[in-house]
Amino acid sequence: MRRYLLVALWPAGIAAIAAATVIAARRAPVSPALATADDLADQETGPAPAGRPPPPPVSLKPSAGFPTGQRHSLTGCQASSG
Amino acid sequence: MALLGPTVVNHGPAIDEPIVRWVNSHQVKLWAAVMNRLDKIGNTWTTWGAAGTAAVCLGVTWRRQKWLPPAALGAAILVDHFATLALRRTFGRLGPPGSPGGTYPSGGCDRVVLFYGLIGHLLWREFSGTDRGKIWAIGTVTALSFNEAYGRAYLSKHWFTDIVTGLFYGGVLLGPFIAAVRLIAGPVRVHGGQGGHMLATAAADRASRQAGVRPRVTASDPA
Repeated sequence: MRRYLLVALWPAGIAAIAAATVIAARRAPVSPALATADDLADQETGPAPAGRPPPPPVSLKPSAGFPTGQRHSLTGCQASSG
Repeated sequence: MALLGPTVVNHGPAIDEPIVRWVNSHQVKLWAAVMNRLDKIGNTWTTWGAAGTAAVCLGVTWRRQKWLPPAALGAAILVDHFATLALRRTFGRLGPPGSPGGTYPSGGCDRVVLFYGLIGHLLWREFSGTDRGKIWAIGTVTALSFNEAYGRAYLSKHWFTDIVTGLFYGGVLLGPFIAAVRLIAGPVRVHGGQGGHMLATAAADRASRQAGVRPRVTASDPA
């Protein structure tokens, strides 16, 4: 029986080291790149209000050759006909 | 290590001999065959091969001072080899029965800590630099060191005190190499790389959406 305890020492040791590594890694701070980006966004826009739905993605660049009087397929806007 | 040697040689047998006897009498043949395989990660030519491969790969992929990883790993091979030889000739301790070459200190444990530790450090400082990356690197080298120490003890290739001092000796050699790399290459910088840039962009976009404002879109972005 004792010989198998000696065998079990190897997986137990490796498991203990792996568990300690995972716990320490989870406690470590996240990447500074992510933290910086979040902080910058919060500084510019303020904290997120509760209950407000996220806006749809918006393109600021007008598409070339878009005919007037037709419904825009992406933004859903009706062009003014005067 | 030279100061520690006389103590280990004179007082070590009181600890080592009962351990070796007990381990020999409780060995499982199948597991011994498995450990004989896993134990090879600390062999001389295995570690030198790993160090040589890492030297080439890191020499190619480092952005600045491409000569530094090959120089550090080459110097580690030379320093470790001759320092260990000097210690062995100074103390001349015989290994356990069946492994007379297993002398003070354990070269396998020393090489695992030194070479894999140095490779891990060079990888971490070039490609990560984060606390989380450091923890993973330390955990990996610790697991490899435990595996090597266990294997050397289980197969009775070294006395127990030689294994413990071998791990310590590897750490003693690794410290100055890490300090020298830091001295030459400067303090560690956090590297995001392309993946880091993409993560940062995604985080900024997510924060904008949470704040209820339109995400910033540059004119160069595709419509």
